[in-house]
Amino acid sequence: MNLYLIRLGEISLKGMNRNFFEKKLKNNIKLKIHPHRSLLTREKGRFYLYVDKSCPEEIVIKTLQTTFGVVGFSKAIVCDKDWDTIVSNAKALIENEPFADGAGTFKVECRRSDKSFFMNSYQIESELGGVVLDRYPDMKVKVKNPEKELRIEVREKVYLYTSPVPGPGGLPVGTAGKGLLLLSGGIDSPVAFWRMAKRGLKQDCLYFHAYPYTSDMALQKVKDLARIVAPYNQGTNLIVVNFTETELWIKDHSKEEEHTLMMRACMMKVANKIAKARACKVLVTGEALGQVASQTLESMCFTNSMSEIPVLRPLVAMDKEEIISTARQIGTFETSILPYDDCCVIFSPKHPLVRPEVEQEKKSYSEMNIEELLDKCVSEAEEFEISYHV
Amino acid sequence: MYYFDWTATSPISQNSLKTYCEVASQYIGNPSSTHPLGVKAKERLEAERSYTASVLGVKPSEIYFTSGGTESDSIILSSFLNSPSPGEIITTGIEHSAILEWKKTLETAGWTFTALTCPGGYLDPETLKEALNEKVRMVCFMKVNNVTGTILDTKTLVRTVRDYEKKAGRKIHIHCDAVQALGKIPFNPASEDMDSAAFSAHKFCGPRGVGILYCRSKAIASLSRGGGQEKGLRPGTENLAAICAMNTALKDSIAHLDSIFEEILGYRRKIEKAALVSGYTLISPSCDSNLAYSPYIINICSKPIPSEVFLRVMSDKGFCLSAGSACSSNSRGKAESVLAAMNIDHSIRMSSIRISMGSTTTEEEVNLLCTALASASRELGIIRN
Repeated sequence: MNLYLIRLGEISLKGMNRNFFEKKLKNNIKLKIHPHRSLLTREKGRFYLYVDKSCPEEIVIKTLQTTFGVVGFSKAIVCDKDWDTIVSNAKALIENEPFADGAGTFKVECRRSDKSFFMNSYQIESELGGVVLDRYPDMKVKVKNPEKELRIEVREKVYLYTSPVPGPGGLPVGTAGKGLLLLSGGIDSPVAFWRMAKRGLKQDCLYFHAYPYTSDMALQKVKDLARIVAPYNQGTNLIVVNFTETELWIKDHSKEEEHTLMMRACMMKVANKIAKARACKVLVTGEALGQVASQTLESMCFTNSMSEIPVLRPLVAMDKEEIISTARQIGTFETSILPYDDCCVIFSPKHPLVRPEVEQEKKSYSEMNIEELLDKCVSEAEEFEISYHV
Repeated sequence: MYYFDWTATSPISQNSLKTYCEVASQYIGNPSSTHPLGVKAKERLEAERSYTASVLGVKPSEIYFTSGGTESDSIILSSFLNSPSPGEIITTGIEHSAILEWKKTLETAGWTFTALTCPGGYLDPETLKEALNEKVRMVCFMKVNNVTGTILDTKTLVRTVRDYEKKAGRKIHIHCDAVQALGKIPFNPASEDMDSAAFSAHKFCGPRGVGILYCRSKAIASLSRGGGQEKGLRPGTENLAAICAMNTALKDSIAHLDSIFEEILGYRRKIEKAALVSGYTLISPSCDSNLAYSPYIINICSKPIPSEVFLRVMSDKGFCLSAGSACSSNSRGKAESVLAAMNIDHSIRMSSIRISMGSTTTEEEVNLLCTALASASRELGIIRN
């Protein structure tokens, strides 16, 4: 079996609850590596992940890079306490990341709990340092804050590994309960999804489709976005609501400047009904304060008033550039900017209300008499299961 | 599906396909080879060239076989990059992108590239006259506009240029993109005194990837290099089967040109009437006007519904149409800019729908289209501008 050492961050600081977080993390990792056999043990604040040799390394790496709770990981080699074997394994290990570029500074660090081993820590470090320098003559030894490390532990067996590749950090998904994300085809909502998943919130996604006013390509784009972020969330369910009739009703039964607000209100109402049915305790949106007319403080107060459960807005204080930077990092940006609009221009008022008055808008909403239509939306919603596989 | 997007491409005719298969299997030699099979292919190629020339009323030596309209246009425009002293090229803002996309390249090489506006889809000879100056080396305009079907008064436009030439004492090359004209309306580039013209086979039921360049000017030189085929203007092994298939399609089109034109004109009237009754606005010229237009293309406005939404609805009803503009597809702005150069209002451009017909369009299909236009209008709330 192949061995990986996994560094845990915040969850190793948990007190009585630590087991709960660790168990969730173990399950999350094992689920993604399945059907390949894997075994996880905990030792000295780390996880030792043993994976069946049949599992491609790429899957393990992608799994660890998309599983929240993993702060860093490195591939390790376990071997017998025979010096020639140790050297040949060290040589093999430094052919991979982070040593593969053969440049920069490094050190070798040894822990020798088996004091019967014939070399002491200093000797082991010197000898293996020589192995690295023979292979990469351009590298330099630096004991304080090196760029790369080769570590060796001499215990009942010998463990060799390199400095860790960063993981995504955060808390294991599922430890914070369940929420419902309002997913559009834009840049923001997939980032909001990712941010909440990072704090352990498991999420389902809700998309409002208005065919023929929005194209099936827009729906495909949303499915693609859900597929990109789903591994971070251990898979997700995409619920697609047919919103065409609702949008047309809003257009005919409200003032033009209120169209967007009424649409947001209806989305909140539908989202609440779906959240309730799926035991989701919160709604998540990709809104950022002041980004567009429906995201002013007043508009947010109004949309909040239409929701019985809390609305979390993880991007509320982020600049567009910061959001874009995260979108690029998680790989959703290129899909988000595909030119398939998720709202048709005929439903977008030329001069939307930017500072709505909550009570007045609530009155406008109830005057639309739209509840029956919204119930129909919920009952006819389609669901797509999006896999957690990386 | 009912096909009303003939301007984009037409279905290959059975005769054309048959010719393609026959020639492809019977003429295996390369026309440049000197063995008997090569000679046989060369003879056939030259016979085809003579036929094409006879249809266009020009000399065989002025016919070059290319890969289509875009390449034919590009050979002419790129040729000006060879000039050591850049001047000005005048064209219209309603040209196909095969012409307009040369703007950047030619400007980088020091040329002035002027695209004149064409209110309503027509280039006013007076506008052209005012734009002509001593720097102009080339004037380029289309015969039939591919977005609205307007027919430009090319005879007067050519005369305007030739009159100016006499005054200025300097030759100006006149090129015409006649891709939507050949096989549909009578067109003779030589009698119109043009120097070059571009044509494409797949617009008149020939195969894709083959076209014609008529060019009588000796000053045009290709940027492509190769084996010297087509007198070096379009090097590369000739696509003999496709050339023969194109001529078969051309022969059929020319043989029935008048009868099909009359038939299509009737359909055009019917569609126009149905569209107006159902609340659509006409972007193309009306049948009742005195303006010159090709009945094969009619452009209507589905305001306030954006083109792409309207196309989806019509597609669900089984009709293949095309957008005069595309507000959120990858072709954003192409046809849109053509309509803008016609001085058509933005809100109308965003709801422009192109319906185009061809030789095998049937009355039944047209009747079904008219019914579908009416029902789409009711469903979507189309409002006359």
